[in-house]
Amino acid sequence: MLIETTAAAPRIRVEVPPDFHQVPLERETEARTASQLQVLDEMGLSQADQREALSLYLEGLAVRLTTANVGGSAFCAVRLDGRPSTATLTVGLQSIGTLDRGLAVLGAAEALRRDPRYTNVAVVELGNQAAVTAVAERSLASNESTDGRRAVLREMLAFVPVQGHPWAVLLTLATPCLEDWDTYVALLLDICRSLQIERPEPSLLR
Amino acid sequence: MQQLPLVGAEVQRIGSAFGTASQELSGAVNRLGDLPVDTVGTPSCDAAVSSGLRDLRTALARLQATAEECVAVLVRHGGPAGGEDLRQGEPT
Amino acid sequence: MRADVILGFDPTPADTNALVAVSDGLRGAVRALIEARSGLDRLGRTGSVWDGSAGAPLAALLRRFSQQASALEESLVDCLHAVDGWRAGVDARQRQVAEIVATVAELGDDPAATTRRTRLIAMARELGVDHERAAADLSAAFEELSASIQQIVDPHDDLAAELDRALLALAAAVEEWMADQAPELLRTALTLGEIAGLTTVISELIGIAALGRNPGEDEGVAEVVAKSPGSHRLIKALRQQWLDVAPVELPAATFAVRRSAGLADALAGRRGGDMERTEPC
Repeated sequence: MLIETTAAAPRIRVEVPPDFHQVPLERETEARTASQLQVLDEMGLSQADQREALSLYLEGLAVRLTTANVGGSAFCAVRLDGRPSTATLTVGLQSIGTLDRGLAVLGAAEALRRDPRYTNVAVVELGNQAAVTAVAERSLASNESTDGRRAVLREMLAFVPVQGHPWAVLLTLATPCLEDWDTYVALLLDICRSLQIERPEPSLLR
Repeated sequence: MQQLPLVGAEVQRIGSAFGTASQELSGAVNRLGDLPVDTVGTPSCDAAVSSGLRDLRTALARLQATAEECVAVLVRHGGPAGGEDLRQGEPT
Repeated sequence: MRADVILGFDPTPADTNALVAVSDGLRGAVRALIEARSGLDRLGRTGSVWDGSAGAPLAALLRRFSQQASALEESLVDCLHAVDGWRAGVDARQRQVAEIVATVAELGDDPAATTRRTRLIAMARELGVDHERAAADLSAAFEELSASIQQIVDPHDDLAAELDRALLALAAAVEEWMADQAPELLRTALTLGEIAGLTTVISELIGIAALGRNPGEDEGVAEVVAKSPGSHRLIKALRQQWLDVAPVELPAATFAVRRSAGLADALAGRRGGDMERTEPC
């Protein structure tokens, strides 16, 4: 699967588990529509109106993503601990203006720490690579849900500088299923560890 | 100088490593000070052993003092909030 | 029985208890040096935050301290070998002297044993010569240790002051990097979070995330809806609750591409039986 990005950026490969379905972002309408249909089939949706709604949303999202500095977005809908669980993974590339990965990590960590939206900012080691992680939460609904809970989307951001390039990969894994948070955090760190520089096109591979 | 608490957290890891070094070396210096060096062998040999151990003790004490000075410098740069953000598990 | 009393001299002077203490003390110093440098070695390794031009001066200082400890440790290990060799030799020679002393004591002043006593005392003197020779080797080892120490530890070295300067430079470099890069970085991070939120709507449409809201009321979602070819139908669909038509079965999570120990632990025991019907998370 391809990630749109600038020509100057390195081509990055991250391994994403097959549980994740990428939001189709192909430039050609025909190819994009085919990929959208494939997602609908993979989800096992039988209701025509539900299929249509998802198809329309995927298309709107694809258009929206072309205007954002985002390489790709994917979601999973799985069973964890006998419960349905869902999460989204979003990947982007960011110019960092230096080849010094240590400096970028220290700077990014400090920048995120100073931003009140983020908590638990930390410098972590992923194999042979230092990275930054930070946690944010956003309220999804203005009111409490019927069972008294406030719907919250919790996200972990990972900032991983790319060796030999003045770029960093930013990955966000977000979930409203807070009981599965630890699993998704471990998953995000695994995905970060899989990061490789690729040729010829940047791709988010399953 | 403006404090950088998260950078400080990383700096504190170095401070902690120097702190461990200081503690270890301090223990070694104390143990060497208590050694019976005047009955190790012949008188001339005792003198050489005594002198060598004194030099060793001085060297270890110098390293220990350096580690201690480094801890002081790192504490000054770390900032009190630094450790709060330090996550356990996969430190650098 | 004391050699100096029976023989009139002690050919192998050495207190074995003192030797054990010296040997243990040196071993303890070696262990302390290893412990002292190992924490610093871990911090300065490749891929750490100090592995770059901004952190390089700091990493170099960590290495310098570590190398001093390591060099001292090596010299000490050589010296420790000499002490252990001396200990073993002392044990053997003192055993032989003890036998000689016992025999000489047994012979007493018997005039018939004069020749034998003289030979035994001569043997003791020879052991004394060996002992002196070995003692000279031990002395040389400690003299070498002293000489090495002069080379290794420079009393004028001010590592702490250099560390101070390196940290000031690093802090300045980090501030400069943030001034240049942080605004764009935070914008991208925010965008990724927004996109994650927009993608979550897919799970609501599928019916597996019941978040008790109409996602269409979210400003960002409304923007996506506006870009959709069937906005009106999508607005209507977003008002619906899709739980009743959620997929009957969802696949069990595998997350199986490169599962780490951490992820395997997180997933352990999570493989329940097939679900009859999904409920939202």
